[in-house]
Amino acid sequence: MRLHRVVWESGAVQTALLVMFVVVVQIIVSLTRMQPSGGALVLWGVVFSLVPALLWLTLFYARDRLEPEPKGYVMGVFLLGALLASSVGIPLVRDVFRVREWLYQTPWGYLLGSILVVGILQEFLIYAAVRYTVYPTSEFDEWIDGIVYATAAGLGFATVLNVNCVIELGGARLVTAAIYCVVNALAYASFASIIGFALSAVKFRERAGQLALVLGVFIAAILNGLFFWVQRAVVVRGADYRPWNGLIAAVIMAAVIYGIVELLLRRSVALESARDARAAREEAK
Amino acid sequence: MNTQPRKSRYYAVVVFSALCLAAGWLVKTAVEGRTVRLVDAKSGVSLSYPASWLRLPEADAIVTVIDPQSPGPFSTSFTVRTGPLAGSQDPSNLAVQVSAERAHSLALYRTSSVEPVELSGVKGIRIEYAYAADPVGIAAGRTSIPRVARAVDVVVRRGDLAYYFTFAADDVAYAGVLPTFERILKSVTIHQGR
Repeated sequence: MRLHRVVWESGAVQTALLVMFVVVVQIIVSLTRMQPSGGALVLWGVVFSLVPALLWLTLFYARDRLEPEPKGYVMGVFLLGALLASSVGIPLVRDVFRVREWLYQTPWGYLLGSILVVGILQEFLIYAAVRYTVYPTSEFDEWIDGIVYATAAGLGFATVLNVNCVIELGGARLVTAAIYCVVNALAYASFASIIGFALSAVKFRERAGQLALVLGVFIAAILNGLFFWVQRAVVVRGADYRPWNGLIAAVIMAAVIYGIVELLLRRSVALESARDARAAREEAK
Repeated sequence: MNTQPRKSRYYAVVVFSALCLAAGWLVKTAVEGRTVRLVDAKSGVSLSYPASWLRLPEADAIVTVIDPQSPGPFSTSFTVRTGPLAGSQDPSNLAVQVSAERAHSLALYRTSSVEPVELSGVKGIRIEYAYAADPVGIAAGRTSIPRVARAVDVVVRRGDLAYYFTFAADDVAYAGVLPTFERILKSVTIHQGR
């Protein structure tokens, strides 16, 4: 069994690349003073929305050579995450729960609504994208698989949210759009890694019960709600809009979540290895 | 290694998520149901309007509130004002007078229904109508396409004083916000003013 350092390590590489992407956009905009408008602005926003997912998929395929996951499965889960976001997640939040009409009216309503409606709905859909597709198959045969597939679903979800936001706003300033897309990608990918770990735990650990999975989805939903609540607090300061603050908060949050998931994963794999070794010794006797 | 998930382990997530969404719906209902109570001692009018609506300063009205989340440039509004009203107490006479006032001040004023009502124990009339609204206007330095607005006047009369409760909304939003207007009307009480 591979003992992975991939969660924190690849998370760190991914995060560094995404921050570099934003810095590059900032430098290009500063040097060229480019200010696209109208359709060009929307187009740039859509391109920026795709960058985090493209970076992650490229990194994933570059690293996953020893025991590669089927490319079609990973891409399929990514696309399913995107499809669930556009066909279920966004319509339910916007048209059924109509969160824009009430979410921002009170601080308590914002926090509870962010967790119980937006957070739960989004994280459940990311969970479902893995649980009801690749999860029951024989391809889902390692602890790390839960994190890989859930991250793919989370990134698909984030990509559609980004594209949807850019189109709804009719574009945004280039650096702001780049930061927004990166923050969303980091957030949804790291929340998804928690769900992925829970899925693996329930599948590979005999003693893990229903509570592990419920906790996985609920913790991801709580983090989802809290994170965007904090984002709003650090980015919008009175009349000021400070997107870089949001990026810093997202990087810190992703580092902490990936670190915790890495620790949990290592501990679980070590426990399982010890158990297998003990079983092998007893068999040999 | 076990690779076949046991189905019984997974129902809890679905049930739990559904319960959370139900709780979220309750939060939505609680937030949307919040109201602000207005008591105007001078006119004796008190009523409750949605807490998310904004109160506008208007000199000739007891209160004017608008829904800031109205779709389009014409905001949903609710206004209460009083004014002297001469003539008989007869409701049909009241309807004629109110309609004449509206026809004078509103473009393409068209009445769709007139019926008697009783508000807080005071008899009056309810007139539903439509008109052409100019939400931005040339005066604001911009030109805009006129909107079809739909409105309701509930006018009750106490002595020589008429109480006007006016609700107006863009045609596309009207049906959706009419229940809110009805809730506001239900909350109205009219006492003898100072």
